[in-house]
Amino acid sequence: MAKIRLHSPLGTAVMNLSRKYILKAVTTGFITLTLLSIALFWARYSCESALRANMVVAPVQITPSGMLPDEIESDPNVKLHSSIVAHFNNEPVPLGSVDYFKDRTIAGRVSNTYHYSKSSGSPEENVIYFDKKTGLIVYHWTHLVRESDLSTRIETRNFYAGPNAVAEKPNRNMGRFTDPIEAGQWFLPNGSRILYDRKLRRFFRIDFQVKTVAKGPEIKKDREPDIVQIDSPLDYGQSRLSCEFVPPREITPEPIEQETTEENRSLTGKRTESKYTVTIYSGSSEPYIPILDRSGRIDILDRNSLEVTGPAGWLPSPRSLQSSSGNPARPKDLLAWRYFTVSLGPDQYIGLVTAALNRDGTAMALATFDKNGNLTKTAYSRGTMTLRGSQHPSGSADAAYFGTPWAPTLTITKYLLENLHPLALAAASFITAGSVEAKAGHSAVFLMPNSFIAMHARDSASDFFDRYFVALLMILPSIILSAVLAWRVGKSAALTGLDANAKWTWVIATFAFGLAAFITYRLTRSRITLVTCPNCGKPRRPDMHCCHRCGSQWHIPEITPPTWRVLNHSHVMSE
Amino acid sequence: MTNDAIRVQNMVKYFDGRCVLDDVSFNVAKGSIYGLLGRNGTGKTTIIRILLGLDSPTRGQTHLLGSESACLRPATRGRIGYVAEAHVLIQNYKVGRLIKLYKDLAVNWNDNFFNRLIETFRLPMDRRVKELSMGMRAQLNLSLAMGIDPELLILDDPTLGLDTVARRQFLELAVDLLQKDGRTILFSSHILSDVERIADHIGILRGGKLVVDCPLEQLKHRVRKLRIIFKETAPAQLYITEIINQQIQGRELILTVANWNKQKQVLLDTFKSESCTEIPMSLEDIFIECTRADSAPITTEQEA
Amino acid sequence: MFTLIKREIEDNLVDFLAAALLSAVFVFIAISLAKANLGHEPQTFSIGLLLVILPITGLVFMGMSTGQMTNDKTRKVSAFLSTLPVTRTQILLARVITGVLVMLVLFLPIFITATVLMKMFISPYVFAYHYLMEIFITIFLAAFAAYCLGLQIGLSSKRAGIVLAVFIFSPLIISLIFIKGFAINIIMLLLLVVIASLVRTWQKFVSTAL
Repeated sequence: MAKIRLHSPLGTAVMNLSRKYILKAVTTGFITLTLLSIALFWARYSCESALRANMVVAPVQITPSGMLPDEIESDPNVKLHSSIVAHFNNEPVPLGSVDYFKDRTIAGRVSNTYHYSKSSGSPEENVIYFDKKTGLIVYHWTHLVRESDLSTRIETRNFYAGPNAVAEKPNRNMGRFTDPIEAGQWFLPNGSRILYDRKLRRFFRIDFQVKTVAKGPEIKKDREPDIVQIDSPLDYGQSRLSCEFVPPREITPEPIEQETTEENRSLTGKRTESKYTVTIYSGSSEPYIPILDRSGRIDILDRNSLEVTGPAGWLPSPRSLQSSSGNPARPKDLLAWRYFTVSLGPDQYIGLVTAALNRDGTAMALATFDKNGNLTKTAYSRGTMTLRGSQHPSGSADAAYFGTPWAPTLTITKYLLENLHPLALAAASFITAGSVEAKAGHSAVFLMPNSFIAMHARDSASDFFDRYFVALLMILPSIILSAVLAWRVGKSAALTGLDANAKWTWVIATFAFGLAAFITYRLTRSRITLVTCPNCGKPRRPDMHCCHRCGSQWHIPEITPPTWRVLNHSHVMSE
Repeated sequence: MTNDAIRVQNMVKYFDGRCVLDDVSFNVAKGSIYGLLGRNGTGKTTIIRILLGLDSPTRGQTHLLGSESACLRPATRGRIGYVAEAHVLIQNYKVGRLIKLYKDLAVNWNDNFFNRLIETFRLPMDRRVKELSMGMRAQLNLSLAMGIDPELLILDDPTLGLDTVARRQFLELAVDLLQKDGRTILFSSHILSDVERIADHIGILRGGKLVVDCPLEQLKHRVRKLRIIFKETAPAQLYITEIINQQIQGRELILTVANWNKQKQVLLDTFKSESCTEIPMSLEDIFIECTRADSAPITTEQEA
Repeated sequence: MFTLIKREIEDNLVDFLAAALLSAVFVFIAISLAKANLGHEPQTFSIGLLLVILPITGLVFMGMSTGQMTNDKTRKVSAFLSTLPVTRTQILLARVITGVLVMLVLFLPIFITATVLMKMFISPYVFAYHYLMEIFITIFLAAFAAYCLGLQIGLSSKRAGIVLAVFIFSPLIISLIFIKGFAINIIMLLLLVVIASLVRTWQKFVSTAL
């Protein structure tokens, strides 16, 4: 068959990317990406949970603590020196649905209720909360009053505290809190409570009993710590990480009975008494309150003067799979943390203890600081790696990913699953690695803040070449997969008659979004069966006026034989 | 702008790479009855479905009452009555419920006319559609289509399943409808005697192409079947164009020709045949001739 | 439009009854749990109830919408309606509105019960009541997203594929709530999924041969 090249007014065949087709591709692509990301999320979450579950978790200990004076520590009667013990568990990280409720109930991160107590079966109730509308801290209590005639009545009282005053009725002179953070434990020995207002940049001590508000000095802007937490940690992964100070003692088979008197009892701190004439306070001891800021630095707040002294220390960086991100560790990069002050008596602050658990829950660091805020000791969680049949000690993160049984398989599976993720999202995970909060990262569906590439991005020790070249190597399987899929899509697009613009758009989209784009292309591509072009003999789309290869139209008079027709407009028979 | 109730322009339809309709174009003027004919599988139902927007053409355009078929507005649809082949109705509905649904959705509804039809056909209201016989379903379908007092009536083999009496009743109804000004009917049927009775315009599909599209009377004049007897063996090649069919048996040649005219007559005369008589053809005969597969002239052994 | 909605409601009466029954069961469970858990934090019985409700509703509504579409194809309902003075958009809209009404029949009594129980047994200081609205909206949107995906799946012709898709996709879309919680970010994501599914379904439905 002779090939005839026709120059039709339409030119070579084009199939414009119509608006309808773009809408079809975008909507299908979004749905495909969402469902695929959810499926990959669960697969990765299972791998990560299995890796954590397999970990053999040993406590981290600093012995002797190095915080007590020599005369105590070196006492010949001491058989067991003081120590600091930290422990973390390997339970699965709770997801968003659990956190949603936790954050919104009493003392939760989002909740405005700081304290709530209610007697079971009784109407008595005590609540302290922040009223956003009035900008005041409200103390509401309901109390059963027994009368002389043995009858009872319910008495309700409300107290309102602003930056300037406390009163039983709110008024403008009290001022207004805007963005308060409260200390975790409310009923301090003298009934006062501490809060910090981010906008006013001051600490306040509110005492509802004597109805006073004490204001601390304004924190200078250049020194603004951007506080995230005062005193005891919020319920934020604290079941995951525990840390305690163990005082020195003799070895006795029976536990030592510790008597505590009422005046010594602190509701906020843990008071231990050893057999020695030393009284050790740990926890929230008076008058020092540790405060944590966004950079991981911990300062000390004087409860009486409400002045900030410090720094007292910082959160240590655990040794993650890739090298540590440097000290101090930011709270947003940690899954859990603990800190508390250690004092010998009410005015003898001797130091700070801090512990931190890394983002993926595989490594922990412990640190102690002296009274001047200098780092004295550190300890890191350890594990065991099996290499060529022999066991070697290693960091717990390395052991978690490579040392425990099935760990290499799970790690490789996790790696491959991460490489099934679209290339664009892997790149986005690399770029945003440092900005996603650790806890929220475990619930990220589209981004992968806990992926190997994100871990590498957070490694501040790497240089430019190392940073980007290694990152590329890490996502090499994803690049190869995307390239192969993009090539296949390009081939198919040319066959199905898509024009050059459309074809290249699909190729680029497939390279960027990988499997999701490939699936989208397959779902949205035209399903029209191609037919043979009468001119060039190659497959062409029947719904296009011109062949997208040779440009010929359908009807080629030169090669189409005439047939008979009896049509209304044809010549009229004449008799 | 146009006086056509239906316009089909260069319609092409492929099913899985197979061309079912190849560049079909025709117009149906308002007030006419157009009979669309063709053998099984030639694409009649496909054309009707595309016209009503139930399917889309691979290429080409179709218009109904001035609107494109793909975007027929409800107001336009309300002026079109449709009886589908195999009577597509919601099978598990009761007849009464189906009628109510149709009535509630209709733009125009002629209750008196519809009730007259229902009484004539004696359709039971409380029976489900799937429990009706084929004929009763056809009657119901017809009644619903007529009940909206349509400006355009499209019927796809509407008398399928109807007995002779019911068929005659339908034809009378169709004529009755047409007597109202500007009403148009497009219908396809295999019963050509019915078509011949009422249609004024004919279209015949063959091999995916519309080979006939002209008024019925004209068709009968333009397609001629001639019996020609020659002095000697009939020539194999007459050099006449638009031969639909030819059969040679010795000296006798049966020739069916489209668009018979003076030129063809003159050409035939040059062969100096002994006799040339015209065989009268009904619409059915014409249809059979037009839709028969192409074949070479047949010579029998006796004449060889 | 009202006629079409009425028709859909009559055709799907069984779904309404089933939703009402399921709602009654969940209300009963909620009341029993609330009584048993008197004094406990709301997380205990809320999460327990959600763990039961969510997967069921996802499967139920995706199944309902795929059923609607496959029934439509089998009974040629849309093919018949398309010849009447209605558009395919109206037919689809009526179908979606009916689905939404079924969802409201299921969820609204549960939401009202939950609100009443909370007001009776739980102090607003423990868990503010407006969070319940967030939770309700999220669950409703998740069920709606499952429903819309089901509409799309139901347009496919392969029955085995439809069944497989329902059992794979409904847990996936519902599990988004377990991953993300009930805050504004998941509400926005689900809204986008709903819009994308509806647009795609509409495109497919208006261009499919009936």
